[in-house]
Amino acid sequence: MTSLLDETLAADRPTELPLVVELLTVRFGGVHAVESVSLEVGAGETVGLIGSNGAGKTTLMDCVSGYVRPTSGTITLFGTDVTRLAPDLRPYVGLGRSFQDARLYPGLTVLETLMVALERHAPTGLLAGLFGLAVPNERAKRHTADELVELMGLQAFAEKRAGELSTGTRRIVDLACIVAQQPKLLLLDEPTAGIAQRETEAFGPMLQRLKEMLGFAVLLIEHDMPLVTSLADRLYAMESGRVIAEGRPGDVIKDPRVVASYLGTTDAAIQRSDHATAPPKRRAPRKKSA
Amino acid sequence: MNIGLDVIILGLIQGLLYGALAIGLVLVYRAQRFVNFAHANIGVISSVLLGKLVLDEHWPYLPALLVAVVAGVALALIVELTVIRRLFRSPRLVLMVASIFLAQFLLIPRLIRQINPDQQKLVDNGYPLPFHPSIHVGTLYLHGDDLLIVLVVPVLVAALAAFLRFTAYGQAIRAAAENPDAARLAGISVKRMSTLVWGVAGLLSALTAILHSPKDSVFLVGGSGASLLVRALAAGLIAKMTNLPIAFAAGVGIGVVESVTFANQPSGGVVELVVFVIVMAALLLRSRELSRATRDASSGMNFGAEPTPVPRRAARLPSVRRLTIGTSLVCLVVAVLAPVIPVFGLNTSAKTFLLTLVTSYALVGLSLCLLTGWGGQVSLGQFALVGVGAYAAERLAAHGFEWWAIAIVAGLIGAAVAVLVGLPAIRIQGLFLAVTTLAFAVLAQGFLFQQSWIVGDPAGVFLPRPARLHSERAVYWFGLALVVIATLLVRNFRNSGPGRMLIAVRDNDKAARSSGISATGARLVAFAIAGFIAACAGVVYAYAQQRYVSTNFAPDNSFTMVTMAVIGGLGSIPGALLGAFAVFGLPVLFRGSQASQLIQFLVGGAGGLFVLLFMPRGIAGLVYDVRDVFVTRVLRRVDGLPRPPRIVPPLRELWAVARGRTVVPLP
Repeated sequence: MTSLLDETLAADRPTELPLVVELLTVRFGGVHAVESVSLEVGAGETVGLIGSNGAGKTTLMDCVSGYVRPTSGTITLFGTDVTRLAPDLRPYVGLGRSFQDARLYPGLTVLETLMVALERHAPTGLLAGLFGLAVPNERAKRHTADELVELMGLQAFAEKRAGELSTGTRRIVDLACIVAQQPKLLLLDEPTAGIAQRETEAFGPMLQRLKEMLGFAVLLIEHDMPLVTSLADRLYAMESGRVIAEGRPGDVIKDPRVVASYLGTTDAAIQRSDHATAPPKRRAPRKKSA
Repeated sequence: MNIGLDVIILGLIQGLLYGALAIGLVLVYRAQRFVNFAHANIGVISSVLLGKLVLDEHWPYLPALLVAVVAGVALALIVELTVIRRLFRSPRLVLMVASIFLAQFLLIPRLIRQINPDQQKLVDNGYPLPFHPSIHVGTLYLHGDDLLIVLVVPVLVAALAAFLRFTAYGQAIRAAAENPDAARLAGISVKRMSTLVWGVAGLLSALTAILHSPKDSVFLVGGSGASLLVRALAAGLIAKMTNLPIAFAAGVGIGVVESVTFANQPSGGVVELVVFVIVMAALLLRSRELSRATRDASSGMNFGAEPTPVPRRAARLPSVRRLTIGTSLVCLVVAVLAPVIPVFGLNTSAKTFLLTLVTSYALVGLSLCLLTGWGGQVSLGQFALVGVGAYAAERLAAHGFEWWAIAIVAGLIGAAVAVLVGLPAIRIQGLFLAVTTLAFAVLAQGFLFQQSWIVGDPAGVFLPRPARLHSERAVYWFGLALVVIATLLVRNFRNSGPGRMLIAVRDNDKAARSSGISATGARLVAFAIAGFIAACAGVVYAYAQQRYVSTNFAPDNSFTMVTMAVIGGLGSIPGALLGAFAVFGLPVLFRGSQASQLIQFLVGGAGGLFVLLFMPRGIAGLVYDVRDVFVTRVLRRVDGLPRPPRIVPPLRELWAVARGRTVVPLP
């Protein structure tokens, strides 16, 4: 049986820029959550988004996903203007997203979760489903889901519900879903939140492998500075809804405004703590001092 | 158009009661973020007690009032401590469902003869009042009951407002409602504030019930409960479920609108249509604020009995297959043969008729399994869709449709109506979608089923049985066949893409949409299928009853359907069938005996509450536990693993140890 993965892997590589955000502004009442932000993600590029809590990173990502309607500005995915497109149609343009909580679907098993992710490539119609007429289609999805389970080493959890899994395992399932969906642009919102240091370190190489395999571009929100600087080709630093610095990671984290507003001057936050004697201080960016 | 002073005054008086009820709803909603369907029914005990003490025991009015109100407050506190506390961290929809069961449970004081006033005295003397003046306004005579409302309600509301605004307790209540976490940090016990809120709500409910009783001695029993609730809810929704003064004013306004409408359009339930429009308008206009407030609460609503999946390698084993297929076949054979076996008198046509109704309830159970269990949408109007199917059957039969075609076409009509009911799901979810289904249930009984252009004859219709379905048994088998078909369809749905997508949307609609699933589409599909099945249930119901009127499809029946689904185990197909069997089938078996009454009590609101609090997976949960024990044992045998060491020593040895004879070395 041919796998669904092989068919979609052969899809054309995009020629347009994966993501272009132009002068995006979001206001909630009087609050400017995002203020004329422009941002680009090139083909195959990994772009990091850093900034303190409330800087507007997640709001920006929600705009790109479609959950928040921007007040003004445009969002273009692979040459298609999606500013007013519903979130559930954006995956068809090539967008994929993982969430900060990686909650998945607590009531579905890992296999079923993967089959949901595969649904877009091999949809089962309502009537076909009701009358049990979609057997080949369903079997193909199950087969591919089994392959994915093996690929990610999830055999022991395949028939467990997502609600019973640990956060780390759910993150791996989440990544398996991404492989299933085959996005061309992936939005990752704090992918290492809530997992142990060792798993955080494993995450970087894993993402790189997936990128090589699937060739997607990544927009990444991450507080773990060593991770984000090692993964990202470029960084955008945000503060109070504005982009205050952009460029190569090495330059951005040395930018005085970024240091003042976000990183602070402690080296422990910037360098990997395992060389230092100081206790790990991963998620403690210093707040902007008044 | 008639907008005379008398009409306005009558509306104002009625509206004061709506306003008082609305305040109670808003108060509890603000503190706990759920719609308390039991609010009005807490006062039932007070209303009953006051009547009993004054009429039968000849107490003076004021001491009796005091005792009755204290009883109401005490009951509210007991409810808070026993039920609400236990569900403090549950999803808000579970709390709402619990309050529906409570509402049914709290009607029990009406059924205990010893604490009810003598019915004859109630008819002769009327419900007790503290004074008996009457005032003449224009063409209108206002009596003691009206004046009591006019005097008491504004004072009550003003006192409550002052309590909340100026006392330390009031401020603490408001703080706990606005931001529980911050309030806790500030040293306020959120749980104690919740108890206090319920005490105040109990006081309100008790007084409202007592004020309402002279007008309607069968307070809140039967159909008036739901329609009263919808009016109070409308007022609350206009106030975004937060602003007490606006809720009160809106309640008064709704009373006036209702009175004016009724004065101009007394027939055909136009009043119900107006109330429905008000509810829907308030919901849709306030949808943003309301859904933001309940966002976290409405997602992840999963309190069902979805089966723990059997490992695939186990499912392939012949012994496990034999078990599942064998059990289903035995159940099917018993169900097919039920009306011919002479046990429990099941072969009599009277009992066969009742069994036919059970098949229609089983169909409703399947529809709720899909819609509420897998879709996470609580429907409080499912029996109104049964009514849609029943009335459609009669109309279709009149147009010469065959019985099998009637089932299909009526089902399609039901699906279309259900989609209309579910349309607000585009903007509203969770708690408030349940409110729209309730509003639909009230509208269906009070307006739709009263229109001659929809149902033919509002006074009742007659559906003739075709030759094929002439006997009770034939109708039963027709119903059973539909149950089997629906079971297969619903099972296929769960095991294919659309079913998985529905559950994905229920559990995490943001993530589901990010993988390209239309949340609205999935929800509407669920409404459509559930509507189809419920309308088919209506066709079975109609062929069984043959004659029916709008009260057959009262909102209370929809509540009972939810109870049935929860008792069986939401989200499980066997649970849906077992729920119908337990709640409606068992009483048929034991009909006429003492056991029947006991069962009916157990499976009513009390049973629902028990299941929700202590065994949330329902009866189906027990079935799955037994199955899991079997599957584990089979797997262990297949893998050649030894039996696990016995942790509990055998009884004989325990007994020996207890008598001090021997000491058993622990393994």
